[in-house]
Amino acid sequence: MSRQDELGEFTEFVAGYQGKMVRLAELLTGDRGRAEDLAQDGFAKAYAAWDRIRAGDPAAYVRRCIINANTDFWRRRIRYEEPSPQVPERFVQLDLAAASAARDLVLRALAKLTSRERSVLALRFYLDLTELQIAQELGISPGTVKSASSRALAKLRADAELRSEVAS
Amino acid sequence: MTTPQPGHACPVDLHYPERQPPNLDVGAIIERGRRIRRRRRLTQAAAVLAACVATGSVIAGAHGFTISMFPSQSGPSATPSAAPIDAQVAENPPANGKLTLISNWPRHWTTVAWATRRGDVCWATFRSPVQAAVTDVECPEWDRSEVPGSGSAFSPLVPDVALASSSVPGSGTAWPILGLTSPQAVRVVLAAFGRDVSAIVVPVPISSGKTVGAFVAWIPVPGSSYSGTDVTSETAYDQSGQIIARISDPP
Repeated sequence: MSRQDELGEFTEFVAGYQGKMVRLAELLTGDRGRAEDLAQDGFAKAYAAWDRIRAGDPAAYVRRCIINANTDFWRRRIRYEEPSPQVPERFVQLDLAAASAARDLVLRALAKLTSRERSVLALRFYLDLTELQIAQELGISPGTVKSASSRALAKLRADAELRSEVAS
Repeated sequence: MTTPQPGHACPVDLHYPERQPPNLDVGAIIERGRRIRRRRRLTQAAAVLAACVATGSVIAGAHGFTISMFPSQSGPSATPSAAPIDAQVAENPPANGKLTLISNWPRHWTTVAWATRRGDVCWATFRSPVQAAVTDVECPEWDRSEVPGSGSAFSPLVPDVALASSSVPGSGTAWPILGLTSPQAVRVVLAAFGRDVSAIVVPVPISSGKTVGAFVAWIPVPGSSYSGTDVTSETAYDQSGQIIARISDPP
């Protein structure tokens, strides 16, 4: 493959996947600026390995780069959770303003989860990967995926802010 | 009263609309990718060599004794292999060529840490014999700016090591939690779920003769999960029993 062909192919790949990758990183970090940095780094690493990964699943490679880089955020943080027996309704987006608020609400809710829980949820419910695929992606057992997912969903359902948003 | 969601539904919609579509700088990506390629070519051979040295031996810094993490191949029980962490060690080889054993408690579990040439600190926790499914490696976990010096400080804890939990003798189910502190500390006490858990601090070499204290504590968890907020305080003690570092969450 000529260098020009390689550049064209890679540019097309970035154009096709940047939305998904930035969103994935945003779900993991809760910060749009850092999300774009992580995605940019992930694509750069993919370009560095393009010869090796282009015939396989380069999007999976970028995903793994983003998830691994995000482990820097896997940190202790002060969180205040208010468990409740009530369960929120599924959030419904009505218009752009509401959607913008929904984004902030989702990111705040995800910020209360651990990094691993966020990764599992993002891969499962944003990228629609199976538990087995997530296990392979994160290098953990399917049982750990299942338990992390279950914990994360339970925390979201108990999230007081989500509940009050649905109620209002 | 709201209706409970089905067990596998996500209560928030992760497909919210974009306010502004991303527009990454492809030119900058390609330029950075080229730099990575060049650097990889230069370091590949050195990294593989370092990994061979690093995974062959482990030093235990706490009490000055030496332990071979990977027994010789001569005995019938010489099955453990460093394979699951080889790749990560090769990517970020230890600056001094060795991994430091932080703990081999509880039974069948090993935790090691090492500092990279950049000054970042990495760790791995795995079950022995090594099983890929219960191996967790984070490298780097703490970047250079988060590594405490000789003063009284803690690095952020790693709150939730998402390994399979382990049955710890006398404690029921427990999960590992890792942290860094001053190298002057010999012991750290963490408070979680109304109980104190003590962990030995092990010096990990970082650069030019300096060390940082690393510890792993296995927190008995009453329920099925925990997060970093369940640890409400950390206190580090020096050799004479004096408190040299302490942090606690606000009430």
